[in-house]
Amino acid sequence: MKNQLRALRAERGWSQADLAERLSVSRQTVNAVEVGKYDPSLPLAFKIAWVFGLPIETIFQPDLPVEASAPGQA
Amino acid sequence: MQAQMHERDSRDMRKWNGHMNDAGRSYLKEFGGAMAAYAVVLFAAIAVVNANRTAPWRYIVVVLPVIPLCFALLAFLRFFRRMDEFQRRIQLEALAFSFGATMLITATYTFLEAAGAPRLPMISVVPVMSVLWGIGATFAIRRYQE
Repeated sequence: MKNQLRALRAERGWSQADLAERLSVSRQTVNAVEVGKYDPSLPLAFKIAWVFGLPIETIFQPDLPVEASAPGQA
Repeated sequence: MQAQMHERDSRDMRKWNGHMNDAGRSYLKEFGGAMAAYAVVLFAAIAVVNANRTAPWRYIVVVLPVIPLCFALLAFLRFFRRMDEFQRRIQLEALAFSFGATMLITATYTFLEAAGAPRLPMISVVPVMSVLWGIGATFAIRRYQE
């Protein structure tokens, strides 16, 4: 999964430690999510979205083929 | 700007590594308390058993130090549950590695014993497992870094 965490954090001038504190996780966890090595759980992803005040899909994008559309979509 | 961010991040990383988080702090307190109690009970049990080497109840006294060790185990399990999801994953991977590697090593040594290598006390498995856990954690952490 790709994410915009680093850019969003930079916009707000937060360090990884600042964001970690807001999320009640370790700094190591924020770093692993940010570099794309660890995909957060759904609850943590929602919390990240809530902290930034953005919809979850603005922050996280799945690695899907561009032309693919979800089965549920017409 | 990007370079600045990186620089600050790595500085934060060092700060984080130098500081224990809350889960770590309460774990150290609980675990340390249990180990202190273990030391006290252990020395008391040794003294009592040494003075009563033939008493039938000595078997009960010598295993009493296991009770504070149970509290140490509870402290560890509580620590595990208090960690955040990513830290728990790291620890789980480290424990999985040490579990499997310990089995390999003990099996290997059992074969060597069959061929005549000296018998080792069962407790030697504990330091082996602990070291492998540390090695496993080091590798797991590395896998999730950039």
